Amino acid sequence: MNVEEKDSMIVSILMDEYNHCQEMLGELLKTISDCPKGALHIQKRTINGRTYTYPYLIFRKGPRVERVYIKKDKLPELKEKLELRNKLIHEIKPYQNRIRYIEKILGISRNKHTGKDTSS
Amino acid sequence: MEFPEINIPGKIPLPDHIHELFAELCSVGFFQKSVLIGTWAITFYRAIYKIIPQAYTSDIDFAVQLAVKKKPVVKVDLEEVLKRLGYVTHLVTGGLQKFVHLGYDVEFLVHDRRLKKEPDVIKIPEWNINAQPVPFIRLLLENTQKVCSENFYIRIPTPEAFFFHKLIIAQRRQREEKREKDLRQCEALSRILDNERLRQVITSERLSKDTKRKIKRSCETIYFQNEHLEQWYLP
Repeated sequence: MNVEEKDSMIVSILMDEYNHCQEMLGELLKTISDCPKGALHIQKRTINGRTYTYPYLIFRKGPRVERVYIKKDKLPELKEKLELRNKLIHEIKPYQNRIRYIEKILGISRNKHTGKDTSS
Repeated sequence: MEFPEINIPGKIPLPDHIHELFAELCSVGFFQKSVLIGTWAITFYRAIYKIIPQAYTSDIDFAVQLAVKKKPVVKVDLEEVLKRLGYVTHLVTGGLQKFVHLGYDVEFLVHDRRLKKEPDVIKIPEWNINAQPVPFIRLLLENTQKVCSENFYIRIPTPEAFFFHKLIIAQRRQREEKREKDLRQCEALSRILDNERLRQVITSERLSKDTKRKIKRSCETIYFQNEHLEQWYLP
C-alpha cells in the first residue's frame, strides 16, 4: 500500500516511542557494562580429607579466558550483579526489536558501524 | 476530587502481562490513591469514551500520592511485588528505579513541590520504591476516577484533568514529537470533555502567568475554545 502522506499523530507516537526505546536501551546497556561479565565457578579442593571451596569469576578477555579469585565477602554482591546482568541482557532484546521495527516503518536508515541515524 | 466510578463491560484489550500487573497492583491496594497516567490512561479513555485509537507505548507511568505522615511504615513492598511478576529493577542516573519486563518499563512519579532542595529522586517508604518529582502531577492525582474492569479496578485522571495537564506540559517539552503527541491527545480528548468538570480542574490550581500563556498557546494550536479557560486564564 502506498501511503502518500505520513499521519502526523502516528508519526509523533512512533517517534516518541522510538526515542524512548533508544533511551531505555542506552540506560540498560550502561547498567550492563557496569556489571561484571562472566560466570562464577566454584572450585573444590580436598586437602588432608577436608574439602575447601574457592570461588572464581571466569570471563573472556580478547582471545583468552581469565580467572579471578573472589573473596568470600564479595561473593553475594558479585552473584547479585551477575544475575542482574543476565536478566538485563534478556530485557534489552524487546527494545532492540522495537527500534528496528519502528526504523523500518519510518524509513530511518542506520549506519551499521556507528549505529547513528543517517536518514536526515 | 473523586468522580463517580465507571464500569467497563468485558475485558479491556491489554497484553496479558500488563493485565496481570494492573490486577496485582489493584490487589495490594495501590490504586486507592495512586493513579495510572500517560499513554496507558488513554487506553482506558478509549475503552470508555470510544475516542480514536491510540497505540500504547512501552513506558507505564504511575503518579503516587506522598504520605502526609512523617514516618510512614512500609505498607506493601512494591519492588517485591514487581519482582514476583518478572520485572527487573534497573537504576538509572540519580538512582531512579525503573522496572523493566518484556520491553515495558514501569516508572513512578510524584508531584514536584518546587522546593529549592528537592532531590532528583523521592523515596516512598510506604511502597518501598522511589519516584521522580515532576511538576503539575498534583492535577492528575486530585482529579481522578475509578474504572472497574473484569477482575481489577484502576484509578485514572479524569479526561478533563488529563487534558488540562497535557495543555500545560506540551509547551514545556523539549522534543517536537513529544509536544505533537501531547497536543494530538488533547485534540482527541477535547471532544469528550465535560464543561463543569473542566471548570473544577481549572479552578483547583493556581498557575503562573507563564503557564497560562503556555495553555493559551496549546489551545490555539489545537483550535480549542472554552469559556472557562478564557474567563480564568486567558486575559
